[in-house]
Amino acid sequence: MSVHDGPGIRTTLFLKGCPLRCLWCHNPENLRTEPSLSYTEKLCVGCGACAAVCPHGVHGFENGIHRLHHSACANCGACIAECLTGALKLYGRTATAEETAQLLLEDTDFYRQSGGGVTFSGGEPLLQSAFLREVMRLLKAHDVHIAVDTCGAVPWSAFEDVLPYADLFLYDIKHPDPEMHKKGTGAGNERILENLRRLHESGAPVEIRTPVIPGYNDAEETLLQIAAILKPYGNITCWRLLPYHSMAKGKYQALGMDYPMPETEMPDNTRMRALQQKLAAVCPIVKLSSDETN
Amino acid sequence: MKQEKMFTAIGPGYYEVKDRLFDQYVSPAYDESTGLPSGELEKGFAALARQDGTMSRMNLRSRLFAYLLDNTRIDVDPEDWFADHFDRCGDILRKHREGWRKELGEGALADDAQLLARGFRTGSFNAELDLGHISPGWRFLLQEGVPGILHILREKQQQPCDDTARDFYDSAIRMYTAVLGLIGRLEAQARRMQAAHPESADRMEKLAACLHTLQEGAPQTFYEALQLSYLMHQCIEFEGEYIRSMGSFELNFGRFYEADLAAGRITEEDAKELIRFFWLKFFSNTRGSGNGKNFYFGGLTDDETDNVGPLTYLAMDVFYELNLTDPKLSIKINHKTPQRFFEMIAKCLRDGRTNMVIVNDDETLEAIRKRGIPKEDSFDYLLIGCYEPAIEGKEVACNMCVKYNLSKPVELALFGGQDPLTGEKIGIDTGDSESFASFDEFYCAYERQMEKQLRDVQGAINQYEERWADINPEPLISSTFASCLEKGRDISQRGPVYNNTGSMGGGLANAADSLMTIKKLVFDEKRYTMAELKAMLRANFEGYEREHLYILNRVSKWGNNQEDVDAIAKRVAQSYTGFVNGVPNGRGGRYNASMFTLDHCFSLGHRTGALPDGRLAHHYIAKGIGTMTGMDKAGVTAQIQSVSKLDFTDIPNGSVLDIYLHPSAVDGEKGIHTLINLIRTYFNRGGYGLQFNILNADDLRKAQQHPEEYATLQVRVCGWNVYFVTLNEEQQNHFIETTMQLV
Repeated sequence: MSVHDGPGIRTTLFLKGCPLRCLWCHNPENLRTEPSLSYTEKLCVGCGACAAVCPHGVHGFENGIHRLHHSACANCGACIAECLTGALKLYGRTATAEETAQLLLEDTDFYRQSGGGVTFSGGEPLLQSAFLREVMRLLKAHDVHIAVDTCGAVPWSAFEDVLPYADLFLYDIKHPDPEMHKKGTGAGNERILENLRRLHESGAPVEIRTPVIPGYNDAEETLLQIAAILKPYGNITCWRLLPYHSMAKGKYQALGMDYPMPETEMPDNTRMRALQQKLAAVCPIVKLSSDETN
Repeated sequence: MKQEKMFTAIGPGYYEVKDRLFDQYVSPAYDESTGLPSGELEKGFAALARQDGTMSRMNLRSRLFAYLLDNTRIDVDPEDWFADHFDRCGDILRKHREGWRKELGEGALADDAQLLARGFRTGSFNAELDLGHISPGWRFLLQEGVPGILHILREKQQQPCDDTARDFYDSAIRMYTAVLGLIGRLEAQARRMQAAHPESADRMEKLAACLHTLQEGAPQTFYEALQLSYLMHQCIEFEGEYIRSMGSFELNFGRFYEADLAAGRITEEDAKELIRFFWLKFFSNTRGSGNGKNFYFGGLTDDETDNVGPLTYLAMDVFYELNLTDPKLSIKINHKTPQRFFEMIAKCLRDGRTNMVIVNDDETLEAIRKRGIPKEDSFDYLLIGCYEPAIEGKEVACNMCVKYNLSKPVELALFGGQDPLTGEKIGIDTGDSESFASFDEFYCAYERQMEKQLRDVQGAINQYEERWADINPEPLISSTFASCLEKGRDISQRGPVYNNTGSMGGGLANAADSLMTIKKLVFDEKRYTMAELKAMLRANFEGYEREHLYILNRVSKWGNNQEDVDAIAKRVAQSYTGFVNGVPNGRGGRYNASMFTLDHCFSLGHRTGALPDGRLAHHYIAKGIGTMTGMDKAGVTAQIQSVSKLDFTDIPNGSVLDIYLHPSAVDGEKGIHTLINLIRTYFNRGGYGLQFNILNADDLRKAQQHPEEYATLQVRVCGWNVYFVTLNEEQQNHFIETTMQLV
């Protein structure tokens, strides 16, 4: 059940691969296109079954401590089948559009009741826009509401693929300044802003999302600049501010990755509400994550 | 029209006195001048009790009751709005009754008592004559008042009737006269307080006037109605039963409130203040630990309207404001439920006031009618105890007579009728499980073991039920049932219109998951032989760690929307309800099935060996109708989908699905709608009852370490809430284990 990725009760499907490398990314398992091996230490009972079956020497035990060589992993999944506690997990698998749609339709009763539906997220789901288009077509046959959660840094043609089926885009604007955008995400924001303009032309409803990262984009003038960017676009239903959190740290560790984000405070509810109220004076559609859109 | 504040103008308010009144039942002091000291009272009681054998037990009981009520010490707190304090002499009547129960169990019903004891010892069932799942006919009581009921009794007494009825009328008159006397004594005490405490004179004047009216006739005002219902609650419990529903708050009190409001006798703020003092009575009784009392809110009164009215909204505001574990609420939700009311309920849940069960009104009405209750009576069901419907003023449903462990017959089918922990042969011979050729053969053995156990326990309970009148005659509560007055029969003598018995099936998840393991690993995949599986169970999986992990993590578990195991759970539920529903009981009624475990998940689990689902020996079994703790891997929507595959019209005695949510799933404005939509989806799919815990494991761990900082953190145990810090370690850990995987 997902409740913070669009209206109502939803199922969110995460697609792998992303063109950006945001320092604060909270889904690091979806950065790569290939499956990602994850190891949760506290679930490991040290049985060694993984090491026995791994053809690539990924798993080793030194003094009873499980050491992983993530770079050697070929994603064959042999260890996963043997790991009965679930300490080892492989994020990502290949699936057909039909089986994906089937899975997503399981909670249809909840979508109907709540005005919810399916959200495609990631990673960047539009990197697989042809596949996405097919899944969306199958879902639309059952009248399911569809949202696409995108960073916007993809060719416009990817948007064109899904436009006929998407009911809502959840669209990230992380920084108004191209240089700063590059600093935080690894890429400038030119294409993102251009795609936002074209989305406006297409008339598709868009919800803007801004992760509020202390010291990066939480200054009032920065957020006011974002508000100015959004102002001309009548297709924007809401601008949602999402507080930075460091809860993904554990996932980085499990994936054998370094946490790229420097130590940063996490804005609490009071601070977020204060920001939201200040911005509401110039941009009445600004909301926090659990506010209703109206 | 100028409204004068009657109840909030003078004297200390709720928040000034609540801490002191919270202790009102802890070590109560009574006015010595008002009655005999308890030692003397007990002597007098014992002398009367020695007359057993010279008169009917009903007669004797009424004399014992009247003697105590006439002579016990009482008091009135000058800062309280309600009067109910009398020395209960350590609940002497109830203890005395237990002597009668024991006497039967050692004499005429010795075989049955032994059968029940063996059931308990082997973790098969906890079963007893259920004297504690009863509700008075509240609306009848409030309509007639004590003098009104007394009047009817006297009229009946004058008419020709048989000896049993005569005995009933005589006894009931004696008891109601004693209650009237108690009200008179409380009035006099309030008058004394009025004189002795000038600062409370206004309050005591009003209290005395209220008590005076209640001696003259039926209650006329909201205040009088609340006073009568709480005082009768105390008197009836003193008589010997636990009251398990306080009825509908709106239907009991709404008409009084609206009339007061229209006549300018009360303001909204007055009414809120009275509700605060009234509900504090309940909270002071349980003090944040243990089972409490429920009021129900909402519900169809006929096919066209829901009963939610102005008083409901007022009371819900007070409920939210107080944030107490008691009283608890039963909420009836149906297709006519006003959205505003539903949103108030969801707001309570979201903000930690989870002491409520949400029941699917439409489905319950269907289930009740399916068991033969006519439509016109069906709307009057209240929720007894936790989740169990009974028709107010017409039905004594003894909802918790049998608490049965659905996984015990798995053990018996595996081990040829032998209970593996005690070694006792308690089942029938269903053959050597190692020679079974198919899962169906195993299931057949499982079902036969279950049937035998249920027939045995039903037989024993029926014997007890037939002797109920020798154990617990109870004319006081009986006289709130119009049919008891009409027939001259006590509730122990089939006086109510409907006389049914509840039988609870516990641990559906353990039974279904165990059967799934056997089907998949022994018969379908042939991964282990039956002999190997039994060896693992005997060893409590010690030395079989890998097999244990495989069973836990590679076999489908009930509650995750997986077709294979869900089909088995459905089959288990059908077997169980088939052996229960409609079976004649010992009081001219029938058995009705429920499916949940309550805190019996501990006592039954402690006496159950390792199970094929991977649960270790002595560990608790599943608590509600949903997954085993820690096994809900697919989330709340999958659990709702699984459980709603059951046919709840075949589970008329109720059930509950425990929903655990992380606070972030339901935070903010949207959280209210999310909760409503989860509930609606479950109900649209035919689900019955839901209760919520919205917690995160980190907070619970902190509360375990620093209880002082988490003194008011509520958790929903079963059909009631307690403060987390009052639970023992096993129960605390149960909550932590359950919430651990929520994100």
